[in-house]
Amino acid sequence: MDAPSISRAWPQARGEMAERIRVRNWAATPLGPPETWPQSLRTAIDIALASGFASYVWWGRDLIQFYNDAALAVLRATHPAGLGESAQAAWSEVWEAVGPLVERVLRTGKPVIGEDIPIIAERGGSTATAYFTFCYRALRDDAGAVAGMLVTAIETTGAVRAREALRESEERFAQQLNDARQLQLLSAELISEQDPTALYERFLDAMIAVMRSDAASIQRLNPDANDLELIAWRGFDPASAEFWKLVDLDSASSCGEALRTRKRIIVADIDACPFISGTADLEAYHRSGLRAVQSTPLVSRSGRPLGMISTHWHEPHQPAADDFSRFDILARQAADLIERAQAEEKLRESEERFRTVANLVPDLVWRNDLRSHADWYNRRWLEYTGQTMEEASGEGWLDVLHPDDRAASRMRFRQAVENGEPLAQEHRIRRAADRTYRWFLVRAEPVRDEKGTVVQWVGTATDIHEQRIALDALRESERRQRVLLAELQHRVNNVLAMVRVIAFQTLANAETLDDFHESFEGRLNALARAQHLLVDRDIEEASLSELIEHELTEYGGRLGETVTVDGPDVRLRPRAVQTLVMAVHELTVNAVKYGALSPDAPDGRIAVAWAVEPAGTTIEEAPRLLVRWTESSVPNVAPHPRRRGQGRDLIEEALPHELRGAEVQLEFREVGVRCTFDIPLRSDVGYARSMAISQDDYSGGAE
Amino acid sequence: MIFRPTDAAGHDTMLTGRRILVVEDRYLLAKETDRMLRRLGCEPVGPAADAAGAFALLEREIDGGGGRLDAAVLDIHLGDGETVFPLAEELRRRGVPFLLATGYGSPGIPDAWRAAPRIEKPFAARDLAAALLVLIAAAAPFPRRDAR
Repeated sequence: MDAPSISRAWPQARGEMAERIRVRNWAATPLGPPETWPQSLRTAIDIALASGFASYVWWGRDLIQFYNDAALAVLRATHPAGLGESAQAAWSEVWEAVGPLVERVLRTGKPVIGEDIPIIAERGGSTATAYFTFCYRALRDDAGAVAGMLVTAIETTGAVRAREALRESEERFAQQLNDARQLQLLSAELISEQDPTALYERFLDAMIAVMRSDAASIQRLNPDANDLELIAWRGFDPASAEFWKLVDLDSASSCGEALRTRKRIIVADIDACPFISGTADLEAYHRSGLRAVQSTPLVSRSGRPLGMISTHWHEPHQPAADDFSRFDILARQAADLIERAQAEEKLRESEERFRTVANLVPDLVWRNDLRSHADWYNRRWLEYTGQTMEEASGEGWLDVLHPDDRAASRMRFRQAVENGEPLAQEHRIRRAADRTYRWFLVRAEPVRDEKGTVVQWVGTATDIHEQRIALDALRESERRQRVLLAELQHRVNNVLAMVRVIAFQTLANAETLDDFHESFEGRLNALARAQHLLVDRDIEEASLSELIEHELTEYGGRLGETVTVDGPDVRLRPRAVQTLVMAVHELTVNAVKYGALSPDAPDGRIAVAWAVEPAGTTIEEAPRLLVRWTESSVPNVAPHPRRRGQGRDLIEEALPHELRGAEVQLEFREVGVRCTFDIPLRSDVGYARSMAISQDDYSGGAE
Repeated sequence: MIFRPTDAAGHDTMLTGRRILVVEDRYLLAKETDRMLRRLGCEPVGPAADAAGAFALLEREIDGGGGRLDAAVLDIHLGDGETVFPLAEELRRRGVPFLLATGYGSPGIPDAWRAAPRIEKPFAARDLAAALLVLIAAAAPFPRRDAR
């Protein structure tokens, strides 16, 4: 065979592409017949045809393309035209990416790899994007200059897809992590944040993040009206927000529907929703540019409906079940928040009612914690004590208690709190206005929650000062009455004993019944007069001058005429009065019968004068009362022998016996009787109310 | 009723000539007790108004004069807060029996003296006689013949 047969024999490999290269009339192309091709080109084509990988040989200035059977899968669209075509034309769609690489290989002669280049490839009768990694290697001509390149392609679609899937999964994971973190953050804020409004804003953030929504809202159920009140929203047109301010059972909105059914409502496309179609709600959705919504009812842990949380999207959207798993955690937290807010509001209302009432009552009112530390006082307390709330709080209340009551009150409060038993006691609280302590009846009662646990104490103090004082006075008066009664009984007994004794002794000394009668009556009357003098006064004492004057005038003595009574104001105690009155009585009776007041002595005079001598130098010595009874102008003075007995005893013996240290001197003088009483004025005997008269005045009597 | 021997004046022979100390701060009551004792055939000593007076009498009647004391009638409260108990203590020490005279709702007797024989004021002569008889009989079981 000649040359053509030889040319027909090359390349010798089998397969479609080898055949196509063999039969092609290369002589009609710029390359010329294969026999004229450089050996390096023919060797490269042989290698490509023998390779199992998609391989291409690009040669010459125009980069004329050859490829093997494996490349068909990649090149279906440009096959068979791609054989002998320039690479730039065959790969026009991707040349923008490939061109620079080719340029570099041709220039540098070094291999270059183009990774994961997307190619629209045919797959089972349809086209799909496939990914390939191309390796470009320089081919040299027989002279050693770079004249073309060998390109091998490995499909990396699977790896690229796997990487994409991984990235997506990572993104999703990161998103979930972010959601979880947000939920956790929210939980922390739920505990620490006290302002519900700020918390609602954080909820909106979390809801939008978790559901990847464009808008969100929180509604609270008003149990009485059974409607939903919009308490927070994001992404609404203000007019829509105004429209949904209150949503009732009749509403055509998703939340209205959820309120009716008590189930989550998902509207993936608002425009296609039968219950929204043609309603004012639809307009509200449109005004805010919303096309999808879901509403989830909030229920308390005990099953009571509390409100609604909703998320909205600008495009039709069917939220994934996965999103709800996190959203439902939010719903749980939102429900707890609303419940807590409701409870706090109720507490605040009850607190306000309590304070209003506590400020109305006239009592002092306060509240204690479980350590009997007060945290609140009503206005009356602050006004009465003058304390500020800060001063009174804690145990500040002790400061205004009477010092004598503090320790006991503090202890009793603590005991009551410890035992959980109501307290009632009385103590004194200082009034700021005049800094006086007034008595209060203090009561404290434990306040219990629904479970019966004591949560705090409420105390009241009622001003019982007047009652307490009155009661104390009454008790004191009763006590005094008892004392007085006992005293009275004692005196009555005493008087009876005296009367009895006087009767017996008068009887023993009387010679006739008339005699007895006269003496007894006289003595009894004298005793009665003494008693009268004593009882007349508040304190049990009698004036010496009155005592003497009464006795003398009783028996016809005329003061300033037949009798003179003169001395400082001396007060005598009962025992001295009783003793002295008997002595003066006996003297008087004697004067009437035998002395200055008797008919036998028409010019008779009696002068009674006394003085008080100051105490001596020693402590035991009391001042002395010196009383002198002097009768004058009495003829035939002689003591009646029969009368000498008892009358004289009562004068001379009784006084020294009854009044320790007293002395009596009885003289029967020619002009009349003179009797001197010398009595130590001890405190149980009596005292002088004015200064003693001078010794001259005393001794210068009527003698 | 126990019949007891009496002397010509109708006095119980057990009481005749008995020397009885009287301590009573109220003069009239003292005089009354004195009168009763005399009518019972006794020989009253005193009356003393206070403890000092009573101690003086003890000294004079017994220690000084060599006389004797058979019994005493003692008012408890002697005025000015003084009581008769120190004297009673002395009498007990000397073996002289005594009656504590109480009455008029006077304050209670201290526990130490609750067991002492008492007579309630006001008393009649026969009450005093009965109380003294018991007192003297207990102190000296056998009648004193020499006193008759």
